[in-house]
Amino acid sequence: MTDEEEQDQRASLNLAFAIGGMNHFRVDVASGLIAGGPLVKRLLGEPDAGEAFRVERLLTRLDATTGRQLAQILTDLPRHDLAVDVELVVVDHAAIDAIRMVGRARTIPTPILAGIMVDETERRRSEELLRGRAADLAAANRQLEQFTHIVSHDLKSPLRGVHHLASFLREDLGDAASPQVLEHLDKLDRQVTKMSRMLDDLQTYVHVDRRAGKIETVDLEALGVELGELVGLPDGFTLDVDVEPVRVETDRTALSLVLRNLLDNSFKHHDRKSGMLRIEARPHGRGRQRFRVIDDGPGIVRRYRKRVFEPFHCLGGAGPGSGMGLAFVKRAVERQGGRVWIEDGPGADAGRGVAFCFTWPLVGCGKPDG
Amino acid sequence: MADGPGTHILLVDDDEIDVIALTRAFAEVGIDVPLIIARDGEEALGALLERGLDAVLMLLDLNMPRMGGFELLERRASDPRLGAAAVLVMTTSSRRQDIERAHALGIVGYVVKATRPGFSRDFAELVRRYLALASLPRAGGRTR
Repeated sequence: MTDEEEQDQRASLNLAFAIGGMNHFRVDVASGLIAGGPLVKRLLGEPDAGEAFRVERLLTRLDATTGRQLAQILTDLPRHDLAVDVELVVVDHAAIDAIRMVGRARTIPTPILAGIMVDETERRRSEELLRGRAADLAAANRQLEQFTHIVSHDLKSPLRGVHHLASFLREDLGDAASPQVLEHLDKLDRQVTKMSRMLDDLQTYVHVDRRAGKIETVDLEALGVELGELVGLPDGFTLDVDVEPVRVETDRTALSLVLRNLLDNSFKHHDRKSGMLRIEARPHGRGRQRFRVIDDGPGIVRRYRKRVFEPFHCLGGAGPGSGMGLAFVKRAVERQGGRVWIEDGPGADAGRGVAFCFTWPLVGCGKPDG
Repeated sequence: MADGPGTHILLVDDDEIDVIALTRAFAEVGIDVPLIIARDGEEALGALLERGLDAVLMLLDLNMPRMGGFELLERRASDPRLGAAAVLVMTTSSRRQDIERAHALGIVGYVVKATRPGFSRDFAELVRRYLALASLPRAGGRTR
């Protein structure tokens, strides 16, 4: 190789190193000197001899643990062909927090350790930032949970008081109560029950994120049938379960809660004495299932379709629910990595019906084995 | 003052209306055991230590100002003079850790106060039947 070729090669190598944010380094075991790219100079300052620094200077720049680690490596060096990959924590340096050294020991003709050195400061700092953010978030979640517990507990006591007082009035008035007084007392009771349920649901909603999901094998068809029984539809209502008997691995409790809330919602807001509900499930791309809960109720006007998922949102005003059911559905689905939306139902031409749709990622998906 | 022998109910609850509701419900289901009311753990301790109560069914709320239910249960575990009471917890807390902690402190039951029609009566019925069927511990370890 001519001098010119060698210079060319060196230039390309330096360019590649610069682009990759890497520096070469070389520790000569016999002389105890370390030489290398700009990072070595940036880290250690003015050289001790020519372009080289004493290795001790590097050791004094490291924290106790990683300093000992490097010292041990240097002690081991002459003995065998060592492969080194260490992250060293730098102390006492404003711009550099950590470096990574990846190298090999060679004896040519005296023992050396040579390789590349990378500045890990940025990675470390962003990791720390991320850890800090995660800790902040966890603290905020804990506070929210505590707050909700206090709110629902402390608000429930006076609420129970109101409930008791209404029943005292009813008992004490006895026959003296006019039909109008009784009617007002009934309304008062219903308001109390509703608020009590809102407080319960608020707590459930906040706890969605905290629930540790247990992954189980679920037969989707069987789940649909079971849900029909759980929801307990009154006479006149039918539930059609249009689900293939596939077995999937998923958080059964979460999926079941979401479907139950949707069925509850469809039935509660139905405006007729009879009706048809349907649960539909279809594979949706890889490892995903798309569910639809379809009803033939009064439907939901397009412009309100996003708002119904907001907490405490009840289109019916003094509706039958707490207004938390669909908010819960959205939160639970999104926590699984799915999406929820509303489509027209099959009766849309007649201005009726709505389909609540959501996607649900599965852990594994396969046909039943028997 | 000594309330003397016989069974007593010691109702420990700071919620005035809950106390009225239970008092009414006890009358409704025909409980004729004398009822002593304490508004927190300290009043309950006073009643147990100073009034010379014999056999006591304590109905204990957990969240109260000053000495709460758990503190009272812990004091009871370390003071034999307070042991002569069967404790039935009635509280708004449905938290799993509260239920387990209370049971670990030796209670006979844990009931979550509900806001629904008929709850007070159901609870009073439970107390009536408990008093009719269960054997309560006696102060000083005497059994009769």
